[in-house]
Amino acid sequence: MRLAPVFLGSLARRRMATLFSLVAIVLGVALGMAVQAVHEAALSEFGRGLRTLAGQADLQVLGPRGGFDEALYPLLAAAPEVADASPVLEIDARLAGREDSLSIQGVDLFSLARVTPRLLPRAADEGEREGERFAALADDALFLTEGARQALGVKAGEVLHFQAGSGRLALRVAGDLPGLDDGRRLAVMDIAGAQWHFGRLGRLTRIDLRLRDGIAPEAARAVLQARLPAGVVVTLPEAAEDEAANLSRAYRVNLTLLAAIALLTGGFLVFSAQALSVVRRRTEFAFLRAVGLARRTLFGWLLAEGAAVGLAGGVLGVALGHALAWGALAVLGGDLGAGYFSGLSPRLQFQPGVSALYVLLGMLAGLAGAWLPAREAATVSPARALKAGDEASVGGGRGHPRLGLAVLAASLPACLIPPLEGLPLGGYLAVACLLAGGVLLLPALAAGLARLLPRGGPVSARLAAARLSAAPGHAVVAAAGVLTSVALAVAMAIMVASFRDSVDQWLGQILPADLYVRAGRASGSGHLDETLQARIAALPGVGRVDFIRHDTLRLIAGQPPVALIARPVAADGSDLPLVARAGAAGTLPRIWISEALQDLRGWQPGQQVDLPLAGRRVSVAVAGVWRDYARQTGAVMMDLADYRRLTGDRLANDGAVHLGPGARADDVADALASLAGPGALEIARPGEIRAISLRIFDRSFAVTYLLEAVAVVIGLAGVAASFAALAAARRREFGMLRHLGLTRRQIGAMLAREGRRGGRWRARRHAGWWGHRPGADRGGQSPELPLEHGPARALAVPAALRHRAGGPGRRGRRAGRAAGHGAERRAGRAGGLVMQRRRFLFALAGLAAVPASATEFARVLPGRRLAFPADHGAHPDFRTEWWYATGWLKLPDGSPVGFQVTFFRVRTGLGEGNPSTFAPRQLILAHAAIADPRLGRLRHDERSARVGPGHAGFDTGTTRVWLGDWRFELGPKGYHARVQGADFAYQLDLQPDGLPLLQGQAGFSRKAADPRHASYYYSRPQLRVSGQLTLDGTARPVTGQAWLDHEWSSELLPEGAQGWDWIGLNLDDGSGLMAFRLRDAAGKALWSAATIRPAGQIGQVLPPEAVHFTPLRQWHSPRSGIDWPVVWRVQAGGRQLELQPLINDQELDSRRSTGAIYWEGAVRALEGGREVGRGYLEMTGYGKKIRVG
Amino acid sequence: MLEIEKLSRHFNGRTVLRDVSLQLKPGEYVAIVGESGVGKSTLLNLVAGLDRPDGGRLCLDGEDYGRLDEDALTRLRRDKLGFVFQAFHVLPHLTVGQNVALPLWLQGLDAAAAAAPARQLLDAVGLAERADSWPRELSGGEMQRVAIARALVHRPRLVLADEPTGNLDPANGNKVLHLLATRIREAGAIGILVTHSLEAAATADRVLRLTPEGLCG
Ligand SMILES: Nc1ncnc2c1ncn2[C@@H]1O[C@H](COP(=O)(O)OP(=O)(O)O)[C@@H](O)[C@H]1O
Ligand SMILES: [Mg+2]
Repeated sequence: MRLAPVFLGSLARRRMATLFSLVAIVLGVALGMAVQAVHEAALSEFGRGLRTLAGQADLQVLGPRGGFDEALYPLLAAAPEVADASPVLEIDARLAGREDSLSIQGVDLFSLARVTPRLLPRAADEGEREGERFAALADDALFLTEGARQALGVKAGEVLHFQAGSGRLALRVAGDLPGLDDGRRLAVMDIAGAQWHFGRLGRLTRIDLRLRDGIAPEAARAVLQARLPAGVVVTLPEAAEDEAANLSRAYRVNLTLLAAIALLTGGFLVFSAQALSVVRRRTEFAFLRAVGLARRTLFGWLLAEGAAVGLAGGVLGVALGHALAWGALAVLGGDLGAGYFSGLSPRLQFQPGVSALYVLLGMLAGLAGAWLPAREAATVSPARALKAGDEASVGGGRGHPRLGLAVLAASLPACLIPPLEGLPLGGYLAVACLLAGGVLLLPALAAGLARLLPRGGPVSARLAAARLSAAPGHAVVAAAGVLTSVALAVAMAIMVASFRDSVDQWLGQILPADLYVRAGRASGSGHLDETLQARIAALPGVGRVDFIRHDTLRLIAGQPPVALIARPVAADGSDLPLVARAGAAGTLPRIWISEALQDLRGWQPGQQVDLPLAGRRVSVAVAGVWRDYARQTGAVMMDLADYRRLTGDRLANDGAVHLGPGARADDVADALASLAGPGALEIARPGEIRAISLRIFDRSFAVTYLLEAVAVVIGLAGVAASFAALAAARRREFGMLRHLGLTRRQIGAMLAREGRRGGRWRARRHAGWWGHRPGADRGGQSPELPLEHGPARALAVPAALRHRAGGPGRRGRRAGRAAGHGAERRAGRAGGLVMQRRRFLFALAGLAAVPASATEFARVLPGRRLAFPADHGAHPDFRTEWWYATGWLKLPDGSPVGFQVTFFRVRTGLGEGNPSTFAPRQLILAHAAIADPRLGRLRHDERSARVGPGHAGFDTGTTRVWLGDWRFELGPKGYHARVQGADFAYQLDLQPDGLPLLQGQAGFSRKAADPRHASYYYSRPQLRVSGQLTLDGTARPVTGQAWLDHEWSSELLPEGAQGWDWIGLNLDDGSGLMAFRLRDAAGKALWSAATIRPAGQIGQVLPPEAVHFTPLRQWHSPRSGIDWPVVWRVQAGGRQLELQPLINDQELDSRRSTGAIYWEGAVRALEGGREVGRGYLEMTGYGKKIRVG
Repeated sequence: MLEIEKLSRHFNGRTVLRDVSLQLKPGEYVAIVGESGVGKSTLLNLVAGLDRPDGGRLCLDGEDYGRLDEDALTRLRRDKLGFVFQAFHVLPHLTVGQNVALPLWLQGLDAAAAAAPARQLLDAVGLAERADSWPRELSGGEMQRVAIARALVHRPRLVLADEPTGNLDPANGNKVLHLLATRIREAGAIGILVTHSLEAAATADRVLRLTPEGLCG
């Protein structure tokens, strides 16, 4: 560092040259950094979106854009590998009369809670009415992210209008999506409503799968894939992220390389500046060497000069790059205008690693630029250089013409290298070869050129010629490098321009009709149904209409879907921009594939291939290859008639209208516009579509243009700087020349001539080279063009991406899952719509408040005779019903545990008229718990689902209700309960010892003085239990006694009920006792009831006044702060029992899911201090007042 | 003690120096004169270790340095030699003081340690108050005085001056020559002054003439 002033001080003195080098490096680094940062931000945002949507899914099942048969859902849900399956119908819903669309995820809230909990909606007035949780199931309820809400400018309670088919659909904003707070625009609605209203009954677009613990996703993927029909694929969520990254990768690489050219130019400028400075300081270095500066030290310090410039440039560049990225994100969006990530609002992140890398790149550019000049300076013999006047000889020799030629020649075969993973690496290599070759060759060429210069002419011309031939050294090389990069940038601009030209021509070719009509974009919710198609065709002035259907095909898992376009095609495909065709026509349906697809799959004209259409593999013949500038992931074109025959799908997205003779386009357009509702149909002329397409083209190339412009500007500045520096270096020469009588003007002319001579020739050469290969990297920079015509950003690929945006993506989960189960999943569930037991009753009561419900529920009336076995089954006409078993189990070592399992059936009153199989008319909710004295508290778990396709349901006629692998059923030998919880599991057989015990008046059980509040209610006391209980992974046989309640009702609770206390006891003498009371806010009994069934007899119903509950001891819950009366005296009829809990803490805190806290636990019954029986006690309403309707 | 023995140098087959011999003791200051192109600078470059002899021997204080490698020669120049050139070679982006301190920096002294000796030498050449000036603010004579200070600041055993007054007017030249002679004597170094001017040579203790035949007193 001692010598720093000697060298770095010199940088400061050469202010202009240093500044130019610095600016060039700053710009190069800044552009690269900006491109990188923007794409990084977009990709990470995109990936984050995918991950959120994928939630905890291990696998995702994806199909074509049109979706797949919903029958796959129960199939997959029942697969042994699958723990939870979440069906999704994604709809790109077009807002009526507006250009924008909203991605709506039609979801099943119940499975959502277990797979992608962050998507769970929150009702707008949550908390006030418990029952409103079911409002999320209403078919017109839409839940918006904050981002969507702001973008659309709506509030909760307002209505949004969408286009569905060619009609309009009103959806109510019912709440928000608190789990998605990142500014994304997304909406969630119930899948049944989505299927129904958007005309997608029976269809799904995605199924998210969560696998059972210990199942490897890769293995499960293979197994499940084998069971799926053609065109439906199982992917790992991670794959979708890669897919997205791959899609835009070529574009990103291209931009990065453009930035690299800018950086390279910067490097050349450093080179130029350093080379000239070395020339200028030649004697200075000689002197330093003479007075004892070691050669290596000199070399090192000269490198350090370059590195210092590079480092400063790198640091400034990274800062500028972030600023640029910030601006670009604000102005152009996350894809820099290319349309890959529309709808995202990425946030810039400072990445220390990447930033450091770019600083390093800047430094490397500086170092590389300084390398040759430093070496040159270090090898100069000081004795020679010290001679005065020696400066004129500029080192560097004549370049390496042969090597240069060879490298230039190598660029030709490099162009032929096929793209690797979609990246035109060969093209980049060719560019690199051109650059390197040019630089190596130019000094010799300059010298050769100089020899050809006229010997005569003006003095300045002769001097310039002599000069060029005398010193084609580093200065020339440096200038050549700068010029070469400029030429390259210019050539790329020319290339893009000529590409644009071919796109323009191509657009003309593929848009032959006079008018185009469509119902929203292809991926969206609009379409033309058959009626509308017929009406369009019948319009006066319409000659012929070619209808077009768009879909996608999944040819390979993990790769972006391929576009499928069905439209009338001439038998020989002559109306397509064909580039190849097959010979003889066979009998198979014919398809025409795009060049991109040909590249991707290697299909050849004439080949017979299989396409997954409508879930089947269909053999088709490749009749030809056509040019498609719009879809880099490939497209398949087939005749509409073939498509309709093969799929039965008769909808269309677009129509190409050819006018009849004498018809005027304007008249027909007006007639079309008034066919459907206002704004439902979009009508466009080819010219408009063309203009829009080219605008999109320009937008996607905007950054390319910008980068090129910057590279050119840096380059030109560099040329100027180089020659200025050259002039400075030759001050002495010029001074001498002026002494000799040259005017200033002559010197200027001489310099200009020297500059032109090299530059003009080089630029022309490169431009010519590139001009011949307009499509050189067709695979890379492919713009997104709207083939799906219409005044819209009908970008096939982004659409496909959006289509998948509901997908995938979640990493590092398996590790977490392996590490220890539960926490994550429990947290997920806790946010769910799941209901806890009695708390659920309140919710049911609250259902009466759901406004949409005009449903007639069956009423509970006195005098109805319960009939068995029929009444063991479900009663779906009633609002709510449960099978509720509680009891005591004995482990092999004699120690007791309590158990509880409840299956609820709920008729929501919703979806009564919805033909969707997902219509949420009936729900099943299951809740199970174990009171484990060793743990000192409850283990519990729960499930919920709608009855429909999938794995939840009930039987009428006998007890049979199930939800996944949880079930409760009555067989010939009694009841069977099966529960698989997070940290416990049991399978129990419960054998009744007598007839059902009818509660109340022969099963009519009143809950209030008002007889409307009543249920049908019977119990099965003294069930003998045997089975298996699994705790902490150990299965043990158990025996015990249990109690079963089966109760159904439509209007249960009276007003003013604060909560209730309920007991069901099996007494040792073989009798059973049930008693309950409803309390008001003061704790006074509103209603009481009790039934006693002595062993072997029928039950005796006690009058309400014969039942008394007296609390004896309270237990203070440290979690909720509630004082629970855990010890009771219960008087019923003649008996006086004291109840003692198995453990104090049998509190169930479900505030996070349902807001309720209750106590549900095993108790002993004592009489005179002696244990006389065991049973269950339930207490509610001891925390806050329970809201009931 | 500098011993030059039968030194010879050819360029492209042309002999410029043949069998030149010379011995100088510490404190001795000689001038070498001769026609332009006779080989004075060539001889000085050989002595300075900037060029390699084709024959003969070069010894400084008993060390034969004619065959040393490049790095060793560089170290020798750094530690034991001082130079004064016709073209000053005062670095424009260093201050006068820094220029004088440069040889000490090269020896590894830091700026603070080098500042005092540099100032002392500047004082000796009468430029003490110009230490913080920039070279562009100096006249030619002052620049050469800076160069003299720089040539002596690290106490070299041998000081070589090649036409130090070539770029100066006679008055300034004289002053510089006397200063150089005084400083070399004071430092007890061996001094060689190469010049084509007899008048300049007269400031040395001894004048030698270089002819194609060799050195003669
Ligand atoms: N590097 C070299 N290559 C060829 N000839 C040289 C070189 N250096 C010096 N000469 C020749 O050697 C002769 C002596 O040069 P020089 O020592 O510079 O003379 P002067 O006595 O004027 O200092 C001259 O004829 C010169 O042309
Ligand atoms: Mg000379």
